[in-house]
Amino acid sequence: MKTKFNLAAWLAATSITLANLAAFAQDNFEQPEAAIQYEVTGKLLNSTIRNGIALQDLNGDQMPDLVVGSNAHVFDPATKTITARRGAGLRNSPPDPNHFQVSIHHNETKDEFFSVSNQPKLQVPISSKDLAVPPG
Amino acid sequence: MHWYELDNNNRLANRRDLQISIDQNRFTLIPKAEARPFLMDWNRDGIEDLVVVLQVFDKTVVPRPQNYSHKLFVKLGSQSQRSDIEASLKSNQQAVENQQMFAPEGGADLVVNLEPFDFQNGIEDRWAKMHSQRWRIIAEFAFDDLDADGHFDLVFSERAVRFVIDESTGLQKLQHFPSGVYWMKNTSESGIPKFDSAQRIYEPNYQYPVIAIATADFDQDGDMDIVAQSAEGLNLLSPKSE
Repeated sequence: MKTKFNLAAWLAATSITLANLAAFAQDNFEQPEAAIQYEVTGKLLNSTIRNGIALQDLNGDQMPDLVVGSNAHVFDPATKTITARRGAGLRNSPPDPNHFQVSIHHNETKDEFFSVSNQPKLQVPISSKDLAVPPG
Repeated sequence: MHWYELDNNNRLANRRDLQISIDQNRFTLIPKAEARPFLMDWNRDGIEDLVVVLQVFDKTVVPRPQNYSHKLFVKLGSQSQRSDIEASLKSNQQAVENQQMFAPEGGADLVVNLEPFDFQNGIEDRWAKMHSQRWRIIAEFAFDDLDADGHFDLVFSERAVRFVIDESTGLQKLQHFPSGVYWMKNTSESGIPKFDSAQRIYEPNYQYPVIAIATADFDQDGDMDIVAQSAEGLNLLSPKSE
């Protein structure tokens, strides 16, 4: 003869209560609130770049500079934006394989840490086989 | 992997090759997963080490969610090689060019498993996604001291993507799903780091998942900042004031 499992009876026969189970679940499966929370406090660039970013002191002023690498986009210091080259991202229009664009945004002063340097971009010769991200 | 020196004209020069080979009997590299190398003092012995983050599947154990998690492949810097370089620097600068801190080939000295993490759909759902050829969990990592306790922590962004076919063009495209920036506190005060479980420290706009991160005290206020890259641009993230 089949007997139906009676959860309430089983719980009553043990020392486990639903409250205990709920507390266990809360302790073990809910993520604690992180001690540190972050929020957006500024926008550095309007761009749709696809490649890597880094914060590193490149000019030795002990302040981190923003480095943006992209093989398919061009940084314009006048507008402080990076824009896609014509055709970049389309399958039949690969980015220029002869240059790898690296834009450096100097973090020169505390008061103007979003300022963008007008220094020439680094243009690093790189062969097409080294391109990190294929087009498309 | 390759590494370069910058010459006086800020051009990359002296390309050298560097490899961390993966035991193919044990690991399968997950397609389209990204690798990112870090030069850092992993075991805090004063010698720079190489850390490469890879998403691989460990096929030697019973499949569980953590078999799909990212892993850190660590190549420890060598004291003897460092001594050789120091000696070369003293005697002849040119002789250093063909030397480097690590053995340029061979396997990693350490493979560090990261515990699986998920705050969106539950770990089993993540596991199901990782089984699917159409799903990928893409993460970008950084190491920095977020809680200012003097020890580097692990910070990462992650996003889930699904490969779908665009019916209008017939081309494959990516669908993005909610993502976040997470922090794993380093609880070890010396030697090999030990990371606590992941906690989400930033939840981005649903439409613009975080693609990549970099960390530094960008505004020089004493708190570690995060630059987060998304499809809408580069945002500066700072700790919320209490």
